[in-house]
Amino acid sequence: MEFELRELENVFSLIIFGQMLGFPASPAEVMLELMPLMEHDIENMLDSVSTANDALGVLFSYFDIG
Amino acid sequence: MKTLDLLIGKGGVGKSSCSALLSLYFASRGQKTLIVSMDPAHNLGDIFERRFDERPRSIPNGPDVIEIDVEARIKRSLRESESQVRESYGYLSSLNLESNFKVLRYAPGMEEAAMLGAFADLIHRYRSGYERFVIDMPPTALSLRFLSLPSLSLLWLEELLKLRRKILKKQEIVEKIKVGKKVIHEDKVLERLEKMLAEHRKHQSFFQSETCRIHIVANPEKLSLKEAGRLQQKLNSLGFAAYNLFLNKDKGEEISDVGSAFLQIRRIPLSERPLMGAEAIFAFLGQADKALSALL
Repeated sequence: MEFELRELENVFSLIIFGQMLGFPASPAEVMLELMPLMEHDIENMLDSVSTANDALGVLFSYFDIG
Repeated sequence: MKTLDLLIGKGGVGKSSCSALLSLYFASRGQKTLIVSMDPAHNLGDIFERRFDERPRSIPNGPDVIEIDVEARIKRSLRESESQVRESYGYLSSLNLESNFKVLRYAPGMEEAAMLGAFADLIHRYRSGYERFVIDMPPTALSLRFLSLPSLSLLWLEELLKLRRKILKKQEIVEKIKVGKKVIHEDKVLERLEKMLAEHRKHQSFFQSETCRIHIVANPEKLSLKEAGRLQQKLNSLGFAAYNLFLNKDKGEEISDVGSAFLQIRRIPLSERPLMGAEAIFAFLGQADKALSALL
């Protein structure tokens, strides 16, 4: 469930910040209104970037393995 | 506010002239009128031979005039957002905020969002001070994007709200498992989404109300009339209908290319002299009386 929650949060952030990432997403005004309020979501996104190449490691951490 | 008249059409058909004429007509009938230029390429200053800005400036015996600076509004909103983001989490230097915000200036939707913001401000500020509003709109493409923005934003906001609520529900479950009890957090993102949804619903409902009248301006030429017909179809597909077709620079000839697309055709005769300056437009009012009286 934590994994699912994390992925939902990532999807939400991608939809909001799509314009900045180079793909068509929600209207720019929505992003500008929400950006100052999405510190937690941006931190999660940056965290996802750093673990993107180690999906197995992420999965193991959810199961408290290792 | 009795009515808000939006004049749209292809570039060069005479939207600004017709807007100026309509606003002077209302004012001449003793109705306090505000004419607003939303076209980034403002023409009202040339027509009234005066400079205008975002504060209402009076034309003697005429309307008050405002020119909206869309570019300045976009810059202002980006600056505000950037400073709020810096304040909230400036430590996230890897975000490269400055260059990202520079790029956002040209992001799709920024211009029409700034126009909608300006429009909402106008209504909020001046609604009780004027009986009539006349809006000189930008050329067709930007006008259509402006009119469709509330509906488009509503689609996005409704889906984003569903997703956010789903996320919050899952967060509650995860916390209940971890902490052993339900912990209720205030979610500022959800609150802001709900606020934006309410605002856009208000805009959409206003655009579709009887107070708001859309008029298409065209010239009595085959190409211009076909364009007007297509514009009406496009408006219909967005849930709007043009109230009138203003046939500007009419020479009194019979026209056959309009079809039944429009409720009414208002013929504005071709003026013998250029309509520059309030005096020239006042002098011309008598000739346009027949076309404009039905709008009172």
